Amino acid sequence: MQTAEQFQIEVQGLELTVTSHIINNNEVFRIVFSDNRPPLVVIEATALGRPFWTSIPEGRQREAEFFGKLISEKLKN
Amino acid sequence: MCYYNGQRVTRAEYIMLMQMQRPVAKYDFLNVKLHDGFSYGNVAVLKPNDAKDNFDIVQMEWGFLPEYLKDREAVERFRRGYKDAKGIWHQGYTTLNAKAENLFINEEGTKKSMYADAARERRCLVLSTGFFEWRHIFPINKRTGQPVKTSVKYPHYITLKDQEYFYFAGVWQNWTDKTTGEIVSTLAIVTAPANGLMTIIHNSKKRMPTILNDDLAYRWMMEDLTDDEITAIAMTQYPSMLMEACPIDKDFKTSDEPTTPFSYPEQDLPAYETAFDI
Repeated sequence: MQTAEQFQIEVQGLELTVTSHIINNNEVFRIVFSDNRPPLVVIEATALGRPFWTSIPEGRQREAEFFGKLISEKLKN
Repeated sequence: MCYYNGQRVTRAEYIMLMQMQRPVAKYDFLNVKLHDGFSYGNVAVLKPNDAKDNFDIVQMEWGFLPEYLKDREAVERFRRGYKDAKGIWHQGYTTLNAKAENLFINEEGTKKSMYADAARERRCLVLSTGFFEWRHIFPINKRTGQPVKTSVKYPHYITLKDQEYFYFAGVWQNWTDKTTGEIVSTLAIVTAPANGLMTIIHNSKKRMPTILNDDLAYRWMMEDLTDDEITAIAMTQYPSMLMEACPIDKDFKTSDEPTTPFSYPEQDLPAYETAFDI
């Protein structure tokens, strides 16, 4: 059992809600948008030994990298 | 190396990401308090694409089925055995595992193995994070001083050191239910003679699944191989030194944490070392 953590990230003056979830022992983040875009699920994976953000399922890589970076910065603080 | 979202990632990372897609799709994000870490689903199998330059992760039914079986009723008879109209019992076949030694010819050495075509044309890898086997111990009868006739079975969980995922060699075949038209991919996991550790743990049959390192896994799945090369890879005994095993609770199948180590009294379950003849 795990309770999801919820926090906000700010993009150009807008606050987006992010929740973290543990699925199959991996931490994923779900971002809910204020427009009609479907929510985005992102995960930090590694490529060539370096971490990078990617979407699950595939197909929203640019968004994943953009919002993943914001999540990283938020969680550092 | 494979690509996920255009990013070049390792095979292990690709597998992790692909495996995440299904549970993420099913996950109820509104019900945030609930998390079931053991919703792994069916057997995950790596199968080469047509060009053999990458692979797909698919689900397959464990239990290789010959094409001639007409429908599910025939499958049941094939697997569990049946009594014919004259009352004669016909033994069922277990096709969960395919012995490496018998991929091309049956155990009696009299005819072609049912796995032969699959071994040549349809080799796959079964993803595993660990597997279960039973160690049979025959307690000493205090009255006679001799081992009792019936063994006590102690389940063990076996993993590879420092490897989250590993691969079993497998062979697969599509089977069509001629009544419903349903096509099902079925597979058998290849087994080899047990290595030292598995000889002690799986001491009733002294076999182990064919576990392949990354290089052999790639060759098994992607390369055109001769029958001798296929057999040689299928006979691979993964080194005992790279494996770990621990006893687990006899009720592990109904446990929420089935792989948790469990301590049995030393007099019931002797240490592995005592199984060696010194």
